[in-house]
Amino acid sequence: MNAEELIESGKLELYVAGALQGMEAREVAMMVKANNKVQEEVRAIEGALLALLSSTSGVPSSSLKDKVAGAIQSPFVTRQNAIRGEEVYERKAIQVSSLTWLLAAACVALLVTFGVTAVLLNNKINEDQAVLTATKEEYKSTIIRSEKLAGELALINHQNTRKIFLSGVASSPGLKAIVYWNNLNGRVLISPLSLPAPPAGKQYQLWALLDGKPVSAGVFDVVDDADDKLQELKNIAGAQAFAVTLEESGGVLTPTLSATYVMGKL
Amino acid sequence: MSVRVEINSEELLLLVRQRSEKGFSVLYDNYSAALFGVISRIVKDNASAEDVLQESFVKIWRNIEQYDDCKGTFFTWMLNIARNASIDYVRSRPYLQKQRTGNEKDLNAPGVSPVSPDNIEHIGVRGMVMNMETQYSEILNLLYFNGYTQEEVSEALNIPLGTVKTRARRALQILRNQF
Repeated sequence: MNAEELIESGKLELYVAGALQGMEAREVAMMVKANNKVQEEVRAIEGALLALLSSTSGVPSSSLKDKVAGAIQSPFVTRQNAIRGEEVYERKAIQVSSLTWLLAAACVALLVTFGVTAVLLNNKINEDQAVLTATKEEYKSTIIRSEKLAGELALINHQNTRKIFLSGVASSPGLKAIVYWNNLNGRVLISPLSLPAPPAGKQYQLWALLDGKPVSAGVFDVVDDADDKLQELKNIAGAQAFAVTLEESGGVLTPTLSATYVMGKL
Repeated sequence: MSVRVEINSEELLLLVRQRSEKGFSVLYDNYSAALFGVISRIVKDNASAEDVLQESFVKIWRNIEQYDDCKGTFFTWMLNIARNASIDYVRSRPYLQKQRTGNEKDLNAPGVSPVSPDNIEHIGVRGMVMNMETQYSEILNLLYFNGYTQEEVSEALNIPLGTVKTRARRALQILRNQF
């Protein structure tokens, strides 16, 4: 765009108004500096504008000039210094919009913070939920165990319960077990004491002997690390002695006498 | 209208930069009436407008080093300072309170107020643009008093950017013919 075209374009009128922005304003500013004709035109536009702006309202009071001169000299008028160079060319609306951006950025930061907090809280809740579930399970098994122990204790302390010591036979000397048997209700508890854990595929079986005939009280396990080794077996109506044999897993109908481990009489 | 001392703006700028007394005197004499005109359009009462004019001159004086002739003319820079100071002033709490108890009709936010016949009349009162067609007086109003950008003028008047330019050019020529 040459000087003539620029002058005719109406850009100079907008330039003087401050209505051009960014590159467009800089381009015109360059042309103004470089070209006398353009400079003249800008001067003419400014002259007309000065007259227009001056004509629309009353004039400031004549004493104001001295007042302003005083204010300019005064060291006390320093708060106005805060103005920044760029700011003057940016219009108020733009400053507001940069404030809007700042607010928007703050909002986004706040939302992200909320989001992260929510995720963290959610994780924490899930963790707590898992802990709570585990605690519940633990509590439940503790209740079951304490009920079992209370039942066993009641049976052991019952006045009709007999405590029978079973001792190792010739092939297994030194082994010991205890049977608690209630002759009123027939309930039976076995405490394996020093019986060793059976080999794979085998289980111990408790027998009640009455008039020379064996009656099975069922099979039981020996769990080394169990803190409560007492196990309740099948009820037995009558007995003169108890014996433990090692049998196939699940038990057998008649005891394998050669596999007798411990035995005790009432 | 005050007598305008003929001095080119580079010389004036130099005097102001040197903080010379003559610099201030010429600056004030040449521009105070025009700046007061812009300020008065936004700040309605005379005493407040004078306060804002004083503040504007102090800002111009103290921040003269920040004027950059690669971005606009010295006059445009001063115009922006005066307009921004006025907008700051009318947005300030004391002014808003004063307006609330006074005449609310006059409180149109500058720079965002739609063009109304009332606004246009303001320019025309002194006769200079009285016989100018509305399409030209309204564009002068938006550009020079309200400080709209070309895009904002285009939106406000619903005309293309090209028309904004040609209309601004025509309006200024009508204006210049009156001197």
